[in-house]
Amino acid sequence: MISGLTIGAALASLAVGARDLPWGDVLVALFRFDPSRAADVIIWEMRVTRTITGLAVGAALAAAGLVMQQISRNPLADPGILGINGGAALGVVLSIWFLGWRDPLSQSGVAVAGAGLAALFVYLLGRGGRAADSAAILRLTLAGIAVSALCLAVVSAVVLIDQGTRNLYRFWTIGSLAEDSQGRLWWLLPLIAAGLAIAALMSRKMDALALGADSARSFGISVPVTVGAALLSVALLAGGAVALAGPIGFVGLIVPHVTRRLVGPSILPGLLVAVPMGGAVLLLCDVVGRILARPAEIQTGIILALIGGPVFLALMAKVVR
Amino acid sequence: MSLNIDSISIAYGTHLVIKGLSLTIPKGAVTAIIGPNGCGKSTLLRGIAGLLPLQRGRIVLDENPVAQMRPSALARRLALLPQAPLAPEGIRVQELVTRGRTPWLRPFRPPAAADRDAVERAMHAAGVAEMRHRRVSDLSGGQRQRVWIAMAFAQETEWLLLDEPTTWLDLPHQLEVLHLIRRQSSEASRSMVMTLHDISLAARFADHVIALRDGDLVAQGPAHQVITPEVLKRSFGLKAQVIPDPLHGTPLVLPR
Amino acid sequence: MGRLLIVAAVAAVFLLDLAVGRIWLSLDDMWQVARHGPGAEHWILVYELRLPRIATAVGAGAAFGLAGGICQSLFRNPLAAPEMLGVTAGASLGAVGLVLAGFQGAVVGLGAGCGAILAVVLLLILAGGAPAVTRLILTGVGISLTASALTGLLLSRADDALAGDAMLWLTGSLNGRHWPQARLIWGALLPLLLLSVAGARWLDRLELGDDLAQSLGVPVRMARMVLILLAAALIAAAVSVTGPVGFVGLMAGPIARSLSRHSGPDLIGAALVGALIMVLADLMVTLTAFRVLLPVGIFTGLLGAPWLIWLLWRDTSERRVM
Repeated sequence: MISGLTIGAALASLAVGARDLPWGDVLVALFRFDPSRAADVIIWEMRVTRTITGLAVGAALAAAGLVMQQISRNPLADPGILGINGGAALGVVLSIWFLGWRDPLSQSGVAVAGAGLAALFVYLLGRGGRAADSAAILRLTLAGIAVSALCLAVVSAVVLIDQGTRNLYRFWTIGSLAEDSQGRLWWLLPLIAAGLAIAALMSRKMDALALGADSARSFGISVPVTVGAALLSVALLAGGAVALAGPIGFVGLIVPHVTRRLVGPSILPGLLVAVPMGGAVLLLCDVVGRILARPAEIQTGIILALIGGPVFLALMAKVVR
Repeated sequence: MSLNIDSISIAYGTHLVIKGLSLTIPKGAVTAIIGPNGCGKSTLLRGIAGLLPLQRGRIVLDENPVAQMRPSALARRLALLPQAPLAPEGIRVQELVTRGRTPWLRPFRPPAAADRDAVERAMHAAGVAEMRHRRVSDLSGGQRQRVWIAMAFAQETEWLLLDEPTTWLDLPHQLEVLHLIRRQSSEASRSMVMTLHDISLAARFADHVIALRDGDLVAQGPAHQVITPEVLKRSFGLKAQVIPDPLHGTPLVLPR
Repeated sequence: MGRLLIVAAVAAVFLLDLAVGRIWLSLDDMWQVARHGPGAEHWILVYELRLPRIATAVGAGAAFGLAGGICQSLFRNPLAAPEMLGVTAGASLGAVGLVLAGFQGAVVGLGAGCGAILAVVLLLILAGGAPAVTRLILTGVGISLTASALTGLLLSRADDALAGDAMLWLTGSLNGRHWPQARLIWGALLPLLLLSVAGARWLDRLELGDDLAQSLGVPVRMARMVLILLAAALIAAAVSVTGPVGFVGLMAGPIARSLSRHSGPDLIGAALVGALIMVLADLMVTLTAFRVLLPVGIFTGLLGAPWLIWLLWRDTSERRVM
């Protein structure tokens, strides 16, 4: 069912745009490409890349959110809210400004490094206390807000000093799949895949850690190694997603709650559902953004934030009394 | 064959909690560690399980120094159920009990038949098999504690350390849990080591009792030798009379 | 003593901020301006450019600080600053809406006020009457996230030039603020300050807990409502002039409290410290103006985020905040 949803979302993403294409044409173009047909060219040149980007970004963010929520036992964890996307954005902006790195490889590298540093910092700051009570949730959330704010202050300063990037930044910062990412996509897919692989390989250890550090140790599992692997995986996933599409929030907040409902709280089955579902959610938001504001479009990040803010409130009301 | 603790010291930061403690815990028996709050009961358990580093001394498990064992190897011989384990949101009973098999699972493979059998045995032993598909968060306190104990049973270790397995429970559920531990020890011939608040319950359910005070040993041995007015005075600073329990013959503490 | 120290600090930073810029002025230059009025050499620089900006900074900073002090005291927690409660985000949503619709001046303040009050009402509905601090703040965070998303939506639908201005404004800025803005914020601040000082007697007793306050003769429900509306009005006034400058309220309240010798809330102190932080941040803007004038919100962010981190870090060792 989930894969059906994902395929449907992908087809919709191919069909809907400034110019609507009939579904039949989409399928024809996909399977029998003819360069003389305008529709085929639109689909292959623009919409296929965009759809793959959306699937990859959504999958990565959903997986990152899942890992974060399980490791921190915090149902409000999300790469956007906890400042990880901000760390990635800061890494990218600083490397352009100070070092002049603009090629996709080094940009992906600094995005991952920034995401990793932010994740480590937020984890260390939010760790105080051992209970999984609401105070711990508040603490981690505030640590994320502080790191976000710090990164955002520096990013805005740099962007304002370097005026040429301001307009670019305006769209990048709220997250959009529309920016040309063709060059980067092929660099970033392996990074995201690596992040997913780490999460899958370490899933049992992370599951054990979710029972508390003492339980994990009594299973013979090294807590620092497991936390380190989880942070690395989150950094690769969130950093890769941010480098592709800008800091998009809330996919990582919403999707893991649905997967927990469907397959329980273990990470491996969770990933199997979250990856396609994250892709589907992101694509659907992208399609909605394209439909609502035709012929222009609303950035995917804004659509997600409009859904995500109320979802955050609803989840919070359930968890925190 | 036993668990030998040889003049160990354990510190939290700079604060020395266990100071040069030596004792022997017999194999195949139920051992209770008693002592006033802050005497280092939990610290001792965590130290034995390798959760805290030893400042000095060594712990020898069946002639193997624990410090030299790999954590994964130790986890197949000795399990610890912490005082406040955390259940992930939405987890169901069987899934949680299965997590107890973590040290035995082969990497990248699903649980084998032996693992599933162990989970079944553990759930039946702890009497949680009928609620296997329920959410842990929906259970009562006593049921939840039995689920955690089932998870520890599923680890199928020779040694099982339980940190305050009866806290937060009312008396009937305390008895239920202690019977469970007692039965598992004799049926599966496992060595159980637990910390307990209630001296009379320790006297009734433990073969071997260890009394601590300020991280130091006050007395150890069979319950009727350890639970005496003199030891209670030295360990808890408690003035009490000890009489034989009219039902079970074990020592019964009557505080003055 | 503490109060005097803050006043002296505000005065010193005020003069420093007045003196610093592309052209550096000496004390004597400023004295000349004060004595000779419009005829003085630097009259235009001082009176038309720097003074209104700094006056706006002082007024807005005081409003942010005062609102922070009221909220922190009302919810008995140093984290309960308006920006944490979603009030600031609500105010900027209202203001951006009116700016993008083409309005200017005091009307924008009304929009900000509606947004702020809407956020407060939503907060009280969602978090409940007397919420625990975790629920209060997390609800505030959720409201902030939602309001920011709506602001983002408005911005994305606007044309580029207007949206560019609004982006800059959203960081919180004093650049290009002149006498109209200064008059606006001071016109709002002075009556609200008087009302707050009157309300501080309620606050003193509310800090003892609702039950005790009730038995001391405080009309608890009305007092809470009045005080939180005061805070919302202060935030709306400040936001409509400078944009959502973050963290000033969060820092000002606790600093004022630690400097004050009394145990209760120190609202005047919070206002003064808020003004001090704002003018300090403005001084940083001036000092770093190599190519462009950065918005003041960046510097309050650079000061305030580490402050929040410090609050959390301290909490690890002492378990105080939560």
